[in-house]
Amino acid sequence: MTIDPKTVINFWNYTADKYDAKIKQKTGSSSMRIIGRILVALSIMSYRRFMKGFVTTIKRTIYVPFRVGTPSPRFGLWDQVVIAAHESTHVKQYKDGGWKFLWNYLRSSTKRANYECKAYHTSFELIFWRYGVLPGATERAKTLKQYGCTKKEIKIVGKYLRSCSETIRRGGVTTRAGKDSIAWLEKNAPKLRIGKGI
Amino acid sequence: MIGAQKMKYRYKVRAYAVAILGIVCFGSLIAAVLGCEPDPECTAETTQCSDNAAEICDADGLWLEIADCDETESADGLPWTCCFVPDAGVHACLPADDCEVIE
Repeated sequence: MTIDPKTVINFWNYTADKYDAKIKQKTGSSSMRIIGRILVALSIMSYRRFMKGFVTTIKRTIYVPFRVGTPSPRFGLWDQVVIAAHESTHVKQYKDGGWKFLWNYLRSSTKRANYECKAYHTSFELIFWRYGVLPGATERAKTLKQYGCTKKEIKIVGKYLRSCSETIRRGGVTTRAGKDSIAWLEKNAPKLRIGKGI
Repeated sequence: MIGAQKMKYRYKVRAYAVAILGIVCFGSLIAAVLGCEPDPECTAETTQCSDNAAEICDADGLWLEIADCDETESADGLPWTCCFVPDAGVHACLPADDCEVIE
């Protein structure tokens, strides 16, 4: 089942409305360019990698390295749907926690891992809704190495994802963004569901 | 970009980097001095059920909610309960009937 680019654009518009978020092109943002240079100065990652390979959410703004509705080798159309739900979780975390969320995310790799757990939880719910199968919890947790998380934190994230996978596999949806996203997809793009998922 | 502008941009980036590092270090110092970090309350990686929610102990030794089973929804509308899943080695929200089978 191919995805209509309009569906992806409508889904992003829906999540932006629902969570009061803004979507901006990463390359057109001077703040993203500055952050990219800072990450290079701190030897965290290359400028190109930050600008092309990562979606970044700051407060209520989601900075994307792709044009929503236009597939790229790295960000296919379905990936863009999952990313919208994942990032809206971070917008909600900011709305709930305010500056404390930003501070914790920046300062503590443990807190960062905890926040990412919730966002991955939402991603897993959407993936299962569509395909009826889940990614490997341990493998997915390992991606947090790029976020500066320690081996111990990554192991805990893996265990967290194993737990929520047990729920999702039995048809359970827990996260706010997961519920909202799945309800929208059921209503507007039910044919995308090709597995025996949620 | 003209040379002088390029230099100015680099200085700006460095200034931002130093400012952010300064804020993080200063904030951490204040937090450490004031003792803002709560004491550990659990052993990292352990999981538990608490008030019908599955929780995991994070790397700081604090409980982190994985899922509130009362908030978990499914198409059949049946209730969800927290219990230990031996095969996965974790506590999780499962349909109440599944938990009874395991127990």
